[in-house]
Amino acid sequence: MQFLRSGISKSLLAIIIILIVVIAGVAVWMYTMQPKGPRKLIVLARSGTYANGLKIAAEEYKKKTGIEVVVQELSYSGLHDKLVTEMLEKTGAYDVVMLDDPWLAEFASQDFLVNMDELLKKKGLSVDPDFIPSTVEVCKYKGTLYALPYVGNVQLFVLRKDLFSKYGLSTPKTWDDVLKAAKIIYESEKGKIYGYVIRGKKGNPVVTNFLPIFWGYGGRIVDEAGNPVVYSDAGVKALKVFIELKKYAPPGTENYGSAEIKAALYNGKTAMSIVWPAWVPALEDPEKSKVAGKVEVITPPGAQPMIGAWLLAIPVTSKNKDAALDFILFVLSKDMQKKLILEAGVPPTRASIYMDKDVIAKYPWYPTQLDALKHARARPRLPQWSKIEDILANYIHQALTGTLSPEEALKKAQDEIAAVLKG
Amino acid sequence: MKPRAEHVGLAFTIPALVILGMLTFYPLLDTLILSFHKIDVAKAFQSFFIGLANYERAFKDPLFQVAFINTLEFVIGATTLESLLGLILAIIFAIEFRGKNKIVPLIVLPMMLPTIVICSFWRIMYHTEFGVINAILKLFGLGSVNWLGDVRIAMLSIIIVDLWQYTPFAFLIIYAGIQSIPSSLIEASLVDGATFFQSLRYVVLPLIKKHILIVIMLRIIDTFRIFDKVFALTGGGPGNSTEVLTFNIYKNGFRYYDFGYAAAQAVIMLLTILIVIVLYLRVTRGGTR
Repeated sequence: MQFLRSGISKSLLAIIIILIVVIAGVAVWMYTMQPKGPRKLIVLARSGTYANGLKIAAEEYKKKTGIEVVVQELSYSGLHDKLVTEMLEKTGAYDVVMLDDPWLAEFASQDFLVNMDELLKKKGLSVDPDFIPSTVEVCKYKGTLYALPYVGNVQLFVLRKDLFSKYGLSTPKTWDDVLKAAKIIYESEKGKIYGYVIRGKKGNPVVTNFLPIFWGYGGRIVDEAGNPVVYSDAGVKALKVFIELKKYAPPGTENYGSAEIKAALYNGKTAMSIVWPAWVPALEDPEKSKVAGKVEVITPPGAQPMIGAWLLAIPVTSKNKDAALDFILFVLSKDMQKKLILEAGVPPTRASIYMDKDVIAKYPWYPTQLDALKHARARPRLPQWSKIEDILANYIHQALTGTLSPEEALKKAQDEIAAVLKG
Repeated sequence: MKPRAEHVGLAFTIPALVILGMLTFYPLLDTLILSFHKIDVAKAFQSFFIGLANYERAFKDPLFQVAFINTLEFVIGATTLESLLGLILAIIFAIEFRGKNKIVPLIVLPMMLPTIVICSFWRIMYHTEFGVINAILKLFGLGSVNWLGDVRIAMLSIIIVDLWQYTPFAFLIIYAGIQSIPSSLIEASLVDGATFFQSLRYVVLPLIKKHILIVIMLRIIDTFRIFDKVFALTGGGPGNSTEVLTFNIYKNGFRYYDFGYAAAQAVIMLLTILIVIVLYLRVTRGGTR
């Protein structure tokens, strides 16, 4: 460091460093000052099939309009967390976001989402009646539209028709039927094939897997007045059936996520399961599944099937709201929805696509899915749903693993939910 | 007056101190203040001062209690086993054998992988039907184990994954300690007629004592913060057996928007770690003398 001894060189060095910092700062400032016309849109999506669909649409959109759309993908809970962060930080990082329908109340109530009713009206547009009403309903909070439906997700039920005819079983209409069939198949197949498989991982998986059974016996989470009523005869019965089904399910089912359910289905290890539509195409693909051609897709037994639509919304912090809406409408157009179902397996939200003969040729169970969507039932539209879901997950899982009795579990769940709703 | 060397040195460290202050002390202080407030989601995230109410709530909250106990279970289990295994491995490697230098990099491999990647394949390995672990057990005629679905075993399964990932860490530090022992000391003890175990006990172990103590301390601090393995492998289940503090705090903050309460839990967690470490350093007298 000889040169530092000389006073002149030291100040020269200092001047050079200061100049570099200043120039760097000016460059960054100039970059951020660039007019951000809608040359680029950022979309935040749920990874997997749905993000892939958006990427396909993004490519087509770029060809048509020259605007680049970047699709960022995250896991289910990662996506939720990112939305929470964005809601609090207000960075304007995203122009279009995907939402799972139970989250709508949470984000709409915090004024995080653009009022879609107003935005559409401003452009002289309205919601196309081709959209299945149940999917549009879940885009509303307190009667106002905050999103548009992208994925027509509704729970379906899959059964092995070869095993059912082998044991002379008829299509189950109630969960009692499911239990009986599961027992017969499990005992006859002596552990090589299980009667049922539960998606039991603690959290969103176990709750969405339990609710169809809960609703099937007449259980309700909240009544019309908004009081929690999970602790009821129907609820206890449903939970008992759920626990009983575990006997005919593979060990480890208490921790099964969607990956494990799919593995069990495609390998022919289970006779029945609740499924989300995105899992079905691979089931009928002989290259991916050992049971292609042997399964039947029906509406889940019992009451109405659960809707789990994925929605597209615009955060209020977006700087490109008009372009964002344009992209959303592009993704949801008839042509795009047909393309996405045929190429990416994204279940559409337009009734006409479900009745399109090309689509039915590829996915023969689509009329069943359309019927299920028309009668689908949504989870309670509450801003506190995340917490309620966790409470339910906590207690259902404890009942499932035998730590608590079904009665105790539901009673405690109800008390905690009541406390949350009281605020 | 020309600046003295210390002043120049201080001047150079001030920027680093400022940044450290901003990134560490300010958030700590902010969290502490937050813990005395209630953030009302329904009122656009306004905060209300409520004193120690969040702390009272935490102590009465059964889920917090469960999380506390589970976390301690994990800390004690993982730290003890990792330190022990690391020690044994280091001793084995202290003995010269052929190909040793080729194996050491392999042992260190688990530490290099991102935790989420590790959890992904351990989850597959733990699968009761298709997992390789149960397949091997079946081969030996032992029944299959419900690794992630059995209330009694799930926590152990998570500890095993942590063992796999961080025993190399313990190994490396203790191994370095053993390497730094002058071989003349060992030779002298052997010449004096000591057996392998005697030289181990009277020469090697006392000299690597401070390495072992450092490993234990670092693992205690790190294992307290267990989150990603629980998140990826069990989601807190089965039942409540793997609910840990960090997971609880995360849910309260990110899913329920109960930031004040989450902050209070975080502060309690921090104080606990501090007390444990201070006591630990006291008892072990820093490993010296």
